Amino acid sequence: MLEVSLPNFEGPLDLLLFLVKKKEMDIREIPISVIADEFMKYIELMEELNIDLTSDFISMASQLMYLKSRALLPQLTPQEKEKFEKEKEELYVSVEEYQKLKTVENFLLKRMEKVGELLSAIAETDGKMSELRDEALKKIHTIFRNLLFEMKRVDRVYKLSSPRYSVDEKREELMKISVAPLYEILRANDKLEMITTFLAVLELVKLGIYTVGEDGMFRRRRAA
Amino acid sequence: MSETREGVDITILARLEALLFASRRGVSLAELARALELDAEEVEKSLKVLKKRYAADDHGVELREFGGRWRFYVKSGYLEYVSRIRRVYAKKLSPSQLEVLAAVAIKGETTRAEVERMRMKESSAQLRDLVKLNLLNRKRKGRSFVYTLSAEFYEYFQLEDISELLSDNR
Repeated sequence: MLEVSLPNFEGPLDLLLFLVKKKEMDIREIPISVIADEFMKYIELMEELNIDLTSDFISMASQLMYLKSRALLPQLTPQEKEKFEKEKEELYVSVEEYQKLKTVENFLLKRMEKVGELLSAIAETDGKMSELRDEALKKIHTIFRNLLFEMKRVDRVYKLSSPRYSVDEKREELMKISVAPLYEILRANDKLEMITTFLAVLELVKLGIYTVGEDGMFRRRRAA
Repeated sequence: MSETREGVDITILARLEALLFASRRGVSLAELARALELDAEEVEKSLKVLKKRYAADDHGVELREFGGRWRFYVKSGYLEYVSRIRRVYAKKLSPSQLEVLAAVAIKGETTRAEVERMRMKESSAQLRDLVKLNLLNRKRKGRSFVYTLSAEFYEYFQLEDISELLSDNR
């Protein structure tokens, strides 16, 4: 089996920047068709690995394919050529701008590591953040949606008559876990079972016994 | 009228100290000048004298300025003691929150749409949390909201001003 390690690209610009850095060239020096092909290659790889692609990736992919097709057309009228150059420039500028953004972000990150050394007003607002972070909520949403999608596909193949589950039973079952991917926990043969498990998960999180991290892991909280 | 070696009126120093002690989130030079009925130049001179005094080893707090706001802070060497009576450490921010802050820092006054265009990522959750944490200000402008860096942002990252952040080769 082929093992692939892929950095986690949060957005299309992260991927573009990664591709450009790998080439050790300025983005303007790389032919647009090369950029487009490499971008598509990664998109396909990410799809194979079941990585959730946001619509931003798809729209960047189509923009790149469009620019590639323009670049390959033998004859463009002067107006078309001007339009093409303008669109290419927009892409370059957004990548360059993003690069700058990353530099500033890194600077802030380094600063933040020293931040604990200062008594500041922000420490006092700390406790007000909700138990599950937004990133974690988004992750749960993605996992749930993917499972539903998978289930639809399975549904087309065969139908299963399902036994009944109660939230209480599921909760007892979950309590045996110390840490496991939420995806695996929720995966079930039918929707009812999945929803029952999900309700049990929510209950345990609300009770503060478990938590779900940004990494999509369901884990037992350490006793305070 | 008694003066310090630096030629600053000690009653002004005392008043200044009282104002700084009482302000929870720090005070700007202009606010101090208004409250003391003095011109900014004189206040600044006094602030510097006060700052120097607190820098001495027999003080556990120091006077610092971030993003134009002056405040007393516990010196880092004494935080360990303070942590025994209250929480000291600030919340750590996520990479996506830092990215959003970087976008606002670069653009100055920014809308959500602009932040999302720069990142090509959905950003509303991050913006909302950063406003809740007081690191961004949000105000209405026309039909949309605009975001700016708050005084707490400068304090949190210990920045005196924006040029420290945006100058080249960081």
